[in-house]
Amino acid sequence: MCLGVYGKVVRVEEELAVVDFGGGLTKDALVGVEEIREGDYVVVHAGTIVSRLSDEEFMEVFRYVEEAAKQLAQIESRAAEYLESIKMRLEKLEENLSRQK
Amino acid sequence: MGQQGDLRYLTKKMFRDKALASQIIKIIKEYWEILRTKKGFEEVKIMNFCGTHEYTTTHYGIRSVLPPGVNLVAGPGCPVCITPSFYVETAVKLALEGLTLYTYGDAYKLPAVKEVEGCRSLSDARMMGADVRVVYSFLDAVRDAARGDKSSVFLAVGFETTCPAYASAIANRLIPHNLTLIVAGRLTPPAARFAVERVGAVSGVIAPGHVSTITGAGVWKFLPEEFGIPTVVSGFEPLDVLIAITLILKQLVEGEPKLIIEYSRTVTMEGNRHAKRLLSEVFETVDAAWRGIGFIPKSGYALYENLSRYDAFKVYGVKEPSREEWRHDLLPGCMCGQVILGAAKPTDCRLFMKRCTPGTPYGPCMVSVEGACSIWARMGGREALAEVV
Repeated sequence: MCLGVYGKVVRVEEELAVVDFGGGLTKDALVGVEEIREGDYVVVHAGTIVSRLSDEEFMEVFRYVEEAAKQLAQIESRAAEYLESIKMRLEKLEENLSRQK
Repeated sequence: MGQQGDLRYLTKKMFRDKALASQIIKIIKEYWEILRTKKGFEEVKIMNFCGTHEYTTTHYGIRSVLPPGVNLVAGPGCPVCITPSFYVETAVKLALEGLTLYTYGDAYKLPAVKEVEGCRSLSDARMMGADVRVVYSFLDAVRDAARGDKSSVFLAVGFETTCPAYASAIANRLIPHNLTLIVAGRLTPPAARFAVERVGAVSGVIAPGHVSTITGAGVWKFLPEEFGIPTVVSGFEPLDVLIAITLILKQLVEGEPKLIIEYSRTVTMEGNRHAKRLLSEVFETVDAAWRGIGFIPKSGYALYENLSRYDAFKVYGVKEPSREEWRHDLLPGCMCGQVILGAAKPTDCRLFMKRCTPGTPYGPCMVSVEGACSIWARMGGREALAEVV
């Protein structure tokens, strides 16, 4: 039941905020976090903003995959080949991310 | 501009990247081979504590791409499934007495064990003419109740993610005089401890992402520190879950259980201070009953004495059963108690998709869209997927 939907804050009115969920859908939500501003990306659960969303650590999360592949390459020599493909894929994703920003 | 630069779109695009997914699956297979051949593992059992993780796992067919020895099991991750029957019976009774009863869609069909005047659920009560209203949020119920003067009750189910809405509305004095709450809020870490102690043999935990936005990931430290279980707080896209599995297997190979936040785009170690403050101002933590399981210490929210005017039980003179008075609250043959604890799969139950279906749920796990049985019924379990792959 703890489903969270990502939205963008359109307007803040004290303890309420208007959130845009995309596709033309906007709804009021209770502000459940400190210092919310217009333009912030948020996680909304059952009509309440429970958290802010940021893309700062996207690549760090994917680096976990690279780390794991590196470790495997040391243990199993056959793993070395997909370490290369992972590196290439991550480069593409990083490029894509910086282009989108 | 369009979707360019939109974080909502970007997240979906990046965390559903097919090429990276296929690489991660290879890594998972390699780790499993090492665990099996060099570390003597016969099975790796990874438990999730969130219905949305079970949804992602089943919807994207993640079980079907994992090696046979890596098993994902659903733990107590659905607040509707574990809401004691007594709360539903009370809600039905109050609705039939003429009060307006608000609840989320998830709890609308939740069946009680005992019938109240021929009604087993709020949906039955509505068919009998009771005023039962399904809302999307607590705020909708607050606004609707404020339009009239009729006595109203909100069946307030939920884990730590949902309960700040109740706390915020109470603390900000938004609640009209005619609205009270049946507080059925529950805390997940005590249930996780219970499940791990009771079921045992859990090799890794995928901790709930949105619960952790509120509580902070720190509440899960006990799993690696006390039980030696690698724990990853994960997001809900398919790559999130695959990365979480990778990190758990990696820790098992290294033999160093840790707590890792994979869902770092929204979860911190400390959590949401504002929401935690509101929760502590409004609710005290008490020993509470979980449906089909029993009492778990310090696992429930209860309103402080000075806020009893919001408490439907106090206002309408309902006495909650004590630990001694509590009775097992599942219908005969229902295995939801074991399914919730990860001790049985939905397909182990003889009633699954026979007597118990999403259209006519018999047990609580078939009701909510995030209940394990409902997810397996709608999207197929491992067996069903294995036939297709």
